[in-house]
Amino acid sequence: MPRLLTAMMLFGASSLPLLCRAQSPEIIRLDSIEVVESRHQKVLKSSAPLFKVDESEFNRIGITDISDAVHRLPGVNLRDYGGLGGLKTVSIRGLGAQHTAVVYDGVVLSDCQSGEVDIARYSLDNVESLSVVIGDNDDIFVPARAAASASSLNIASYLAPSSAGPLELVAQFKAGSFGYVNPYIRIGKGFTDKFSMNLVGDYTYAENDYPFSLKNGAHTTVERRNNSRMNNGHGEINATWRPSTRSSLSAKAYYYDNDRQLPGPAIYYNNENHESLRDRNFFGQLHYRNAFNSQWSLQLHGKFNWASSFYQDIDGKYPGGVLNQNYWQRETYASACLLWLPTEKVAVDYSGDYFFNNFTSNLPTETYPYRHSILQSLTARYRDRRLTATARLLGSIYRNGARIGDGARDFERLSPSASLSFQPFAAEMFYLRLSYKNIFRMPTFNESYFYHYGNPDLRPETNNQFNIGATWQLKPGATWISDAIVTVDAYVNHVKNKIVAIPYNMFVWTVVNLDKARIFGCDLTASTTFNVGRRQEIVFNGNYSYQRAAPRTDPKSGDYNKQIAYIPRHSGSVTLGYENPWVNFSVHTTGVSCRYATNDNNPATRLGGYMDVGCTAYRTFRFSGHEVELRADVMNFLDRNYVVVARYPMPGRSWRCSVKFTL
Amino acid sequence: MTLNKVLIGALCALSLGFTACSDDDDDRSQFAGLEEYKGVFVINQGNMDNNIPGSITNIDTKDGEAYQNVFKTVNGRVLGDTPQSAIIHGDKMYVAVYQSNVIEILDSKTLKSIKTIGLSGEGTRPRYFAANGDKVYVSLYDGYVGRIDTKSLELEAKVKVGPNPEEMVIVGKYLYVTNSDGLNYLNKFANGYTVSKINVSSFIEEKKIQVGMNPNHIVSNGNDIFVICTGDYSEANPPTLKRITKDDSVESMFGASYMAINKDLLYIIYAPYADWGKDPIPPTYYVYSISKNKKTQLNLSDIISPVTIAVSPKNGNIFISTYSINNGYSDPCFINEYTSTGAFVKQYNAGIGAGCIFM
Repeated sequence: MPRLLTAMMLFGASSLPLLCRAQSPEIIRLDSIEVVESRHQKVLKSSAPLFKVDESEFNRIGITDISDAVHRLPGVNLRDYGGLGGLKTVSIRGLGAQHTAVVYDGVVLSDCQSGEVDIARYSLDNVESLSVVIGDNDDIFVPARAAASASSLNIASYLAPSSAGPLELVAQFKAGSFGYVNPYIRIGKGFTDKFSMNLVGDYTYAENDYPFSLKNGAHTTVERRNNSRMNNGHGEINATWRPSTRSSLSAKAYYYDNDRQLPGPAIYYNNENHESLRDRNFFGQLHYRNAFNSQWSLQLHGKFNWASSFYQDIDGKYPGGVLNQNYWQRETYASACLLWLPTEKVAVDYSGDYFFNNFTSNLPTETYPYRHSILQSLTARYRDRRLTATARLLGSIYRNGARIGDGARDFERLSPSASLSFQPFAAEMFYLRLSYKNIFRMPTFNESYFYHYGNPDLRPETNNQFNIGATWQLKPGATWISDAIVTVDAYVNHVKNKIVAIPYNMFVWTVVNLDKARIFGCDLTASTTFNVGRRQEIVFNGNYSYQRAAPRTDPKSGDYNKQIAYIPRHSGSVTLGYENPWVNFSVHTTGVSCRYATNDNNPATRLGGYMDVGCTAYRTFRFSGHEVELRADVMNFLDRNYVVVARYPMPGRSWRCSVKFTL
Repeated sequence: MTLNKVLIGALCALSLGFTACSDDDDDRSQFAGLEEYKGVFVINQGNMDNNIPGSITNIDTKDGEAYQNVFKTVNGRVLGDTPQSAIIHGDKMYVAVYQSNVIEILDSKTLKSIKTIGLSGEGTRPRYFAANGDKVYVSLYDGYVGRIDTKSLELEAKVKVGPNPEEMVIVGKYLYVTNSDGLNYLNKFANGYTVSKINVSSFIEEKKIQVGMNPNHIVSNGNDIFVICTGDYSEANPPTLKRITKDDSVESMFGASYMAINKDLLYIIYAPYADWGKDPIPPTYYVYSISKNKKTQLNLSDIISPVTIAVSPKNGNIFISTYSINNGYSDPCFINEYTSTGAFVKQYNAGIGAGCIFM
């Protein structure tokens, strides 16, 4: 801990006054220009914590996939079941993955069955930028559903080209350890200034049979993951039509198909497992945007989503020798957002979303539940040069039903949130921020209806989150330092009616609203670039999080004031990159402290802390206007044997290389 | 020069190690081990999802001492995941390690592992044992009963029975095994409901006797056979004791969840499940005299939530394992010892999920 502070203090800015150049007395006419907000500006001024990573950094800081990108952000707990096919879910600030909305090109991805989105599905190759917003910030022209979760992970993919132009082509081939191959292609064409399209396809295959160590008493044996093959493909078509300079209509069709084997938990003396999972997802979404005039803008979203999940386990112990659990879910979604800018400093947004979900399965106990959701949000924002203040009221109405039997409880609620960002010293890019959000999450269909396990009387889990923080871009004291940014945030989350599964008897577990939890913590980030020579740069990124997530239901119970399962008290990551004309190189590490598999922190369930160090090297060659990029990565360079989830070992040292051709 | 300072500072930050917490360290055994283990043994199932493997506890009732993790202390490795039960037959101990899919054969005194039978294909997931002469029988959850020869220690034969067989008992020339169909809960265990009667010498299933929903536990006094049909964990279908008489006819007796037999006395724990939303039903304890057909209630103290019951054939003392706190599935259990009339003798520490007591 002290070492990190020392390092950070070394970056303390000593501000030297910038020299000013005298203006020329002539009048020069400039062409109209498009103002693009700098990424730093948005992050600095955001009234709620905002972390962004875009594709220019994926190489610079050696990010290998979305879970790696997310893992480098503070306050994020990633649940990772290991390997390329392992389920990966994102929980932010200890709330649980169901409180994180994953937004794909503006529309929230849904899973009404488990409430969690597996981010392992989304390939980084097709992502233009990623951002995480904790709470509500000053981005108000968004659907109501984007504000209906405690935090959001926003994925922006490559859409159709923005203007007419020649054919755009990106073709990439990746290969790596444990039988990994991954071809990818993206073709885009701006046919006219008004119409463009693109096409994306990728396929991933991996055997995933990585070795791992299993500690057994005095010995350690080396095993191999078995029944772990991953086989998935995905395709997307995007089209954009721009009837005028102020309006656009984008359409997307997306299909994903994954046929994978599940290795199951690592069991002593038994490596045999015959489970498999076939996931399919299709969705079509439309996005219409029209800035009618300088005061009014309209945004419309529409989506239809279909997903199926077929789980199979072949084992003689099941009736008929095989267990087949097939699930299907559908969603239709529509949203309208109206933005009104009555003055230069004030903005008001009204957003209304409606979505319908239904769920079916092949289980004999299925009740075919469905849900109508109507969300409306009214937001007002005041913004001047130094102050941004936002207030929002979200009104939610949920109506549950089931074809067989009773539906779960209906629910309606008003959820307020407010955020503030203030620049106290006009000369310094130093901002203070304060935010509050009251929000809840509805019980998932599993939690409400699953045979014996589900409880239709469940109430939503509610959360009051407070955040206070500061962001600071240090003035460039010398020409060899640039983009030195530090952020610090402290937060408290009060969770009530936490939905937990409790054993009703030895054979039957049921979910109830049992727990209260209080989570507080602190997130620190620092990043900077050192210009060390001609076309040479050293990039530094670091973050550290402290999280104290305590169950606080009953002072007499064994878990009172302990640490919630799987949440480490300390976590952090450091990246150091060296950009130069020869070979760009970066070293990155993420680490967490020890955790427990149970809420009562039973010492027998302790899982050790770990540090995962990786390195990346890449180089881009340019010729005749085309580009070829070569990249090699070594993951878990120190070959550390660790688990994120008990009994699901992570891969040891592994490598990956890629060749990318851009037309 | 400033660049060097910066680089060093950055590298220091990089080397920030989370080495304060060492790698997950197993529990340390407090003692080096005994030469011989005697008395009562407990199979602790552990809790695989919470990273706790199964183990064996040894209770020396004469000294009043309980020794934990004795298998690991003697053999230097863990027993495996979710062991279900064990018996001692002759000079060997046989342990069914269900999730790890192995049968451990140990020396019954030193607990050294003599052989580990790995199972795969057809005839997997061992559950319970019965023994007779030079054969030991094991029920296999995918619908078979296997036969192990005590000299060659090979699983030499198997016979197909009903779905998800559980406990077994040998009476005269026959082996009786309960067919629970326990994994078919969505269909109310419809394909079970029976006890398979297997001819021991030919090792062929001769008939299936209809008993009731989800039969699990089975014991015998050499004449009658007692079976507990566990039902479906609701008040509508509570766990019930049934008797199979010599002519294979079945009669219902009274409510029972777990039992242990010592000659003429059947010791019973009745712990039915209350329906969701209702108050839990406190367990009650009985001793049933088979010859007198008389049931007497016992007042057993200090039981939070009973797991299983066993009786010592030497002095008739009763052993009951209990969770240490309500729903404590990753906390250690206790073993309470009582006299045959229910007077509390002593409480011993056991491991997590103490599901089987044997001696």
